[in-house]
Amino acid sequence: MFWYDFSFRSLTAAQDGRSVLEHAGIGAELLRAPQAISEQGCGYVVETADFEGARAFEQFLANGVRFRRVFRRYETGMVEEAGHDLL
Amino acid sequence: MIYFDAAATTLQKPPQVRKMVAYAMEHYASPGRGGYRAAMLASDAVYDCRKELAELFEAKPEDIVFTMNATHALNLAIKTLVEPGDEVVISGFEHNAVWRPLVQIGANVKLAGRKLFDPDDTLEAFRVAIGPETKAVVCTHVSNVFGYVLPIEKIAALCHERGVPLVVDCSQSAGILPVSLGKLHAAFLCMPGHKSLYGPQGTGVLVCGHALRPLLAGGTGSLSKSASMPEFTPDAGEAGTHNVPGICALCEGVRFVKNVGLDAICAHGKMLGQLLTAELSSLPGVRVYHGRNQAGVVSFLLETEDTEQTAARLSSQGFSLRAGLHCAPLAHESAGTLSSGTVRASFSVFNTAREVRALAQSLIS
Repeated sequence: MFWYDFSFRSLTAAQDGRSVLEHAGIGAELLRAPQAISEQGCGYVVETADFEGARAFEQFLANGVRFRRVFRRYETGMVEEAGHDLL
Repeated sequence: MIYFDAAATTLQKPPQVRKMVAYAMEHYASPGRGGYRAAMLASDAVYDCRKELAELFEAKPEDIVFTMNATHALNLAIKTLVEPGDEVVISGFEHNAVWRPLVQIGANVKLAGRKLFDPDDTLEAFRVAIGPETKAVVCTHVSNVFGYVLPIEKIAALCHERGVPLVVDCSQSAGILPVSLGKLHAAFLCMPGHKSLYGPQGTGVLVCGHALRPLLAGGTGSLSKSASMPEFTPDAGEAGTHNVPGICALCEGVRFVKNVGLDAICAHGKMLGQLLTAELSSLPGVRVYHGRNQAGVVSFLLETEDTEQTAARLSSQGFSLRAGLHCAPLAHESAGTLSSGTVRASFSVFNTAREVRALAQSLIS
């Protein structure tokens, strides 16, 4: 099992992203970014369940929400970049 | 006590504003820093306020920068756009929060429009003053001394047409008149949170339609490995811990404004201003400054009494009005009241016609 973590340049941008997903009926949680993800220091991610990832991606594109990168976070704690294969 | 100094700060607040200050102090930690519950709740509460403000001023949540007051917002805006020696056009009704930062920078300040309650003259003066060398226009929407509503939409259109960034001082209009970042094509809208948005003192807002140059540097909770401030808003303007109790309470104030409605709020202020004007105009020796384009702010003076004496006399009778120059010597100079100052009555939604009549009665006696 894994989750998709979308990283953003700021907390407010991440909150905007979460709003878009919530509006679309996609469960999304705002969380502190694991250090493995936040390459420029502290940050926040919007996390969705694995089966919501593609729809979240589409919603961000459709609404002009600019996330920085997207990762898969596994139960084990391992994180890997997902990239555009998400779609 | 009857309070008529809403142009300085609204003293009466909706009860939910006061309650939210206490609630936030008990439940909310520092937003945008930790991931634990009290920090995340604070982050959500601050974001809620951004959203409410963004909706009211037709902007995006990321455009909303929280400041400590309108002066702070104006300093951020002005110091982003203006360099020493730059030509800047301002109205003849600006507050010291505009004039002093420009003088401090060493800008070449040009005054445009000094006729009170004459929007055609104001617009024409801006048309003449804005030239190819003009780097910015800074203009108040409503005079804090006289309540004169400047033709900001037309001034904004002129700036847009000539490609000059516009900073609007919305200190006396935010929460009273409609103001749209998008429609004005403004670079910045600056406002206090504690006046007609009914938040607590210590709150202000900068609405950004332009990239922002940081005034303070420090922690933002973002790009932490970098020694430089983030260039994006709101982080560029929000170094250090936020005033979370103030922002959360401001959010309640903004919701109150939306619930009452700008039309109703504006009409109420105008009605009280017209009532006071009518009551005072009939009195001998009282000079009242009024015009068609006026919000709920009225200046007057008694020809035989020092304005500070009038205010002190009214204070002893339980009325709170401000006398003097109201930190706006340019506005007084424009109106010819620089030597005397004026006594200013300014209204909030909590003032009533009965209170205004009582003030007039007190002046008669």
